[in-house]
Parts: sequence; structure tokens; C-alpha cells
Amino acid sequence: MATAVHVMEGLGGGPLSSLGRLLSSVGTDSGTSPAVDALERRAVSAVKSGDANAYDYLVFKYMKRVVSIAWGIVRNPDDAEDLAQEAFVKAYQTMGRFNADQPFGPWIYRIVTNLALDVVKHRRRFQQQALSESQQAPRRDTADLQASSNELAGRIDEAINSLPVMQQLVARLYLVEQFDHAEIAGMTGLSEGTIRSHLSLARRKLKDQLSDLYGADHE
Amino acid sequence: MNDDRFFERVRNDAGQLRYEPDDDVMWSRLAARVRERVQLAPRPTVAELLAGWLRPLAASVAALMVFTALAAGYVAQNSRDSSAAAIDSISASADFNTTIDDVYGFAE
Repeated sequence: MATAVHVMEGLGGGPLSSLGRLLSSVGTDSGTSPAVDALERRAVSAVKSGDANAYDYLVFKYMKRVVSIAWGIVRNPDDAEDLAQEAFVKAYQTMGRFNADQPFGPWIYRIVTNLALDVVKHRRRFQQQALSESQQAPRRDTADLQASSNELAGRIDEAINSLPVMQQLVARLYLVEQFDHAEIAGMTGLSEGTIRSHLSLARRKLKDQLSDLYGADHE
Repeated sequence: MNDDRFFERVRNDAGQLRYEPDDDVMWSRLAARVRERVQLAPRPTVAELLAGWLRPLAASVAALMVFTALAAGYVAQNSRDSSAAAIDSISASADFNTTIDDVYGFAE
């Protein structure tokens, strides 16, 4: 956090009191206010000009969301952390191609989504070649869920996990990460129509599995 | 409840499934690792930047030269074929003796 403050001072971000309010939202990707967008734009421009320290602002702002997205796909906390690091490093290395007037979020989310999908693809290939079903490592992903042992969350998680790969990905990005159709399309490279189609199929299956939880209201 | 309403409710409830450990050490460690790798990332030299510009330009010029050479060769080949065809047609249409007379006749 101290580093982020230093970064903001370096960017001429103004008095620390107002910066304190901004920094309290750093890491939660709440950048919808014009002030935050301007800071982000300045951070991006500074990084593009060669100021590596300015990148800290973007890392602090988006890291939690990036890790969450990665975890949702690979379902392993260590892999998710590694992927998050890789995504930020890759984004930094290709910053020259990034337009500073665009929000940084969708771009880093797309990078981490693609990296995570590559890991999943690689895992599937490896599992098909080398492992039988009885030898698969037991799932530990549900144990990593943040203190949310209630039945509802667990059932929703289980229901999403039972979906086919692409429906699972899209459903998780929509339901858990709460991106909209356009954002998911940008992250996955799929068209909005395809996203809606996946969600429609996922919704039908989830309704079958969760009808008892949302029970009497189902009409 | 219709499908949309169901999905909306699931969406409201599913937000708690985000993976966001309350672990400041972990977040600081991740940020530090990124910073370390980013600081270590070599900055491109002027030569590398120029190479980045010139490489595609050189490739285009090379492709153009290959195309030009091929085109020139094709045109030259066509020209030779046309000349040979013309000579053949002249020889075929003329009587050989007449040709000799034409050549040596004035000398007699």
C-alpha cells in the first residue's frame, strides 16, 4: 500500500487525503469514477513511457479480480497465483500495444482468461494420456472457497462445475465474477450471441439442479 | 419465477463464490513478485527498436524483389519465345533458294 501511495504521488495524484479514499478501493476493481479512470490512464501512460514503478497502481487495482478469475477456471490456488503473475508480466511486456484510452481491466482479464484456459487444455490432454479416472487427484478446490461453507454457495458451485467446459466458463464469469455479456465476449474472444447461447443452456441446466433451492418461487 | 428471475437470484448468491482470500501477506507477495519480474524485464535497446521497425520493411522489400525477378524472368522468356516464333515463321514462309538469291543475287 505504501508503494501505491508513492506511485500516486509520483503521478501527481493530489493530496494524500483524497488519495487515501482512492487507494482504499485499490485491488477491488471499482474503477468506475472519472477520477479513478484518469489515474489509471496516467498510470498506463507512465508505464508506456518506461516508468515500471507506475505499474504498481494497476497491479494493486486488478490483482484480486485477476486471481479470482484464474481460480474460477483452474480451481487451484497456487496455479491461480502463478497465472495472475504471468498475466501481469505479459501485460507489462506488451504494454506498447495497449491503447491508454481504453480501460486496463478488460485487457488483463482477457490475458489471464486465455492463460488459464491454456492450462486447463494442457491438463485435459495430460489426463487423457497419462491418468485413469481412479488415479485423479481428489478435488480440493471447494476447500479454498473463502469462508463460505453455506449450503447455497456450495450447491451453486457444484452445479456450475457440472456444466460443460465453455458453459462453465461463461456461467462462472457471468454469475460469480458478474461480468456482462460484452465483457465476457471481450475476455473470451467469443461473440455476444455465442455467450448468450452458452448462458441460456447453462441456465436451463442450473435450473434443473437448483430448483429445490429456489423452490416454491419457481413458476 | 421465470428463467430470468431465477438466473438473477443465482447471480446475486453466486458472488460469494469469488476467490478472494483475506490474506494481505499473499496479496503483497504477489504484487512484489510482479514488481520484481517487471523491474528485471530488459528494456529494448535502440537497435532492437529499430530492428522491430526494419524487419517487416526488409521482408516486404525482399518479397518485392523476388516478385520482380520472377516477373522479369517471365517477361524475358516470353520475349524469346516470341522472337523465335517470328524467325521460324519468316523462314517457313520464304523459299530457301529465293532467300539465297536475295542474299547473293546482287553480288552476281
